[in-house]
Amino acid sequence: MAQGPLIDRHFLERLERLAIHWQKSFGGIVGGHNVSRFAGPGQEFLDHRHFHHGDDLRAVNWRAYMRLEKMFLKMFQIEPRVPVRLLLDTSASMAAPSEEKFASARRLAAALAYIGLVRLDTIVVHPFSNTLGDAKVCSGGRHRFGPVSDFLSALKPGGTTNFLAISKQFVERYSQRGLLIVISDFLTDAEETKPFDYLAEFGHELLLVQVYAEEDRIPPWDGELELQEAETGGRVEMNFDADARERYTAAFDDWSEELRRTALRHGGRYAAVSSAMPVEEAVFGPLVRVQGVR
Amino acid sequence: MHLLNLSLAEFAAVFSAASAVVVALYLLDRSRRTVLVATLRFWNEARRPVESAQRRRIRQWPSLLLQLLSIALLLLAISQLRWGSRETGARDHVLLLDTSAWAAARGIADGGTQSLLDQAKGMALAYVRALPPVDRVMVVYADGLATPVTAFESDRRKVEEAIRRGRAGASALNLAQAMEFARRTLSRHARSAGEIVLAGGWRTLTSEASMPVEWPANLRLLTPRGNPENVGIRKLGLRPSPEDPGLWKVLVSVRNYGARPHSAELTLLFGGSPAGGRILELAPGQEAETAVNYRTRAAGMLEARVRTRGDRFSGDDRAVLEMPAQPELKLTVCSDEPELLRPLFGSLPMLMATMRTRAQCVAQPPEGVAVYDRFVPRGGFRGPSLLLEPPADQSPIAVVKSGVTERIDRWEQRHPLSTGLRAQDFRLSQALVFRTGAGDTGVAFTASGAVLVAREVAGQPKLVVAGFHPLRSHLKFELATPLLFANILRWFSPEAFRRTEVFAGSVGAVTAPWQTGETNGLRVINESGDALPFTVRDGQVRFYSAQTGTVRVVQNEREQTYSLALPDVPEAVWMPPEKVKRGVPPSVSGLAQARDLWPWLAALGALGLFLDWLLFAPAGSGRVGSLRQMPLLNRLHRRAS
Repeated sequence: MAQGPLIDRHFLERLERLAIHWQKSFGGIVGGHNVSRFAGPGQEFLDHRHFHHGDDLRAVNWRAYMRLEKMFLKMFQIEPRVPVRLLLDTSASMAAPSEEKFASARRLAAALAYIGLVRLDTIVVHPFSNTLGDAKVCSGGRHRFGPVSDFLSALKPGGTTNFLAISKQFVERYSQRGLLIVISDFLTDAEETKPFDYLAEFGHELLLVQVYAEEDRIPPWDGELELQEAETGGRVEMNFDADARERYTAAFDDWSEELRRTALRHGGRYAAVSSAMPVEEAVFGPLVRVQGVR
Repeated sequence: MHLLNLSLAEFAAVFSAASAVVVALYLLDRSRRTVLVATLRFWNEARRPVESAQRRRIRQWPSLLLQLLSIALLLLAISQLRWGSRETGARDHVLLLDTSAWAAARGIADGGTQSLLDQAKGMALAYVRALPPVDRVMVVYADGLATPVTAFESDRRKVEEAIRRGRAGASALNLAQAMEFARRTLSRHARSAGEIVLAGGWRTLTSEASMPVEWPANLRLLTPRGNPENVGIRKLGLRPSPEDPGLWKVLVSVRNYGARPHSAELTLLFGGSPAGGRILELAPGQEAETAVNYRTRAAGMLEARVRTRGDRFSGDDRAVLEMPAQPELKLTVCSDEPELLRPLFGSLPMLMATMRTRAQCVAQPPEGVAVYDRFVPRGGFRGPSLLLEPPADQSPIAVVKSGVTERIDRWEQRHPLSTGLRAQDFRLSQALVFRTGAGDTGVAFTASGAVLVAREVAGQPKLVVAGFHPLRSHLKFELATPLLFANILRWFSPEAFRRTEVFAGSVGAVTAPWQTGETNGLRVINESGDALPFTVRDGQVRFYSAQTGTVRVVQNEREQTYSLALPDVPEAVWMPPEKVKRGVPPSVSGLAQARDLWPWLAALGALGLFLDWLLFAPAGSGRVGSLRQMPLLNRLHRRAS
């Protein structure tokens, strides 16, 4: 069946005014648009320090030497070019109860990739389920969006989610710190935020984007249900009523709050996006509100 | 309290079936369903153990009971539950309004100011107004045919309008047919059979022997009192005298339908002028036929009037016939020996022969049919012409042989000139033999060839050439000779030989005498020129016409014209059985009216189903689910659950 484009042209034009934003300072070569606290070959003055052997004599503040007869070195802020890594959940849970959630996640990833390409950032898309999939690196401007869009369109949901294994693989494989955007429903059996703590402590800045279906938060069913988990195939029989629905929704909201606290604790950000929400509304709503893009 | 549409057993059966379906759907709706979810993690926190291992079980009794109650209410609405006794239930009646010809007679009541039909309408309206409003009435006009003018109608305005619209027709009441129609209509189309009401019914076509033995128990008569006196014309006929061409024989048949003897004054008028008359003394039930001779060759209207003291039906007191003109064939005989031909042409009454010499015919060529005796006019023929023994060199048809003395041995039977001619001993002397060309038909043949030829060419007058003179030899003694001349003149001018008879009768079945027995070319056509179906049996043509007008029975030169303008007044007075109900019963108007409950039941049933959906339906998706999120409804739902 022929698929339409993930994002229409009108929306792409609106995205061009945005930029992916991060708060931490990361090292890197010059050429980015986010200011770093690391000194380097920048334009903005940062600080002075004592001269050490081997420092570049061109950076010595000769005026201060004439007055104080001590050699001080001028340091400048750099705007490093840091690759933005985008982890996209492709586990089977993203297709439950319908594929609408996965489609919404793909559209969101495409929108962020386009924003990054417009600002000449390097975007690396990492699909994952129980392991990290092959990454798609894209950079060089908006005209490179086509391959990313094709890559995202070709993704299929399947497999289980193991955030701990993924985080370990990621840290082992990629040593450069940077902004890490995780797009997932974060619906796993593991009730822990340890993988995200691990990634943050390694030095990454986290932007957790939770994409959920309305049925994930408020199940519409009543009566006797036989529940089948999408990833493991596990089954549970239960009576479900309004009270149970309230307990369920409360548990879901608790988990979302826990994710948000984890992100904030490490200087990151958290955004929740309903799959029923149009991607345009999701970008200019929750993502702008948490300053994931601005 | 009773059900109008269903019996109790039918209701129970339908309700049982519907209940079974509802329970099955309920169990199916509440059965365990499999749902694919992203994770079981939060479900485990909200989990409540399954209460029972039995899967098909009723868990929401209020919901099921509410559904069953709603279904029962809807079924009762469909069954039309009514408050009151069954006798007050809606019934359907057939009202037969007698619109026969006799209904136009003035009645005895009210000093004869009202017609019988008006009185019957009044009684019918009173009956309809006395019926309960839920009863339905079908109005049928009954005369020769039973014609329904409404369906079973509960709208009294339409029923009364149909009754008022009734007009007396021209045919007689066919009571047996009307009764059968009403009985079948009630049995097939009525919700609950009511009464067959006959408004009228005085005289009927049906004899008592053909009436049903068992009259319907639900028959009611609304018949005005009395049987009005009437003397009227039954038949009026015109027949031309075969001997005297200008003489008509007028036949009038008058009947006394009443119970008293009457003296009837019969008057005949032609073109408004008196043409004859009679005084007829008629005993009760007597029919007298009288004949009046009237001489005229002109066309005109012949009117017959009957005047009787105490007559209350004027429809049959007058009859009018259109008298056709008597055709006359003008013939010019061009001969220098007129005495030779005069006896021959003087024998036909419709023929007016003028004898002229050859010189006169040459000087002034004759118009119309002409006979040329042994000569041929030079200027051609101006009308149909008969040439007797023309000169061989002037004959319009080539002569191949002359002076032939032979016998005629063959007649061309397919040609009208030889109709009825079989003679083989026509001995000719000095005859001419012709060669036939285009448009020529040889009629009589000798061994040498055609001696009598007929020519018929489009755009030219008909021509007959005889190669012999029938009156100059011993042929004048042959019996076939006048017949041959008659055939020739009939072929020239068939209208002059058409025998027209005119009759006035009544609509309905008509029996016309037709003595010829020959049916080839026989047609029965009405005023519009449409053919009517007919049968011929025992020398009689029978046909049926339900409309007034003129019907012609035509065959070749014979024509009978029937002016069907007289009303058909049956001879028999119908005496209804004693046990038949009569008049408007007061109990009908006093019946208590039953009250319909079905609108309320239907509304309650619908409300019950809506409440069930609101309180017990599984939370659906989309907008239906959002309605359930309303605080009050949500609280109600949770309480009911």
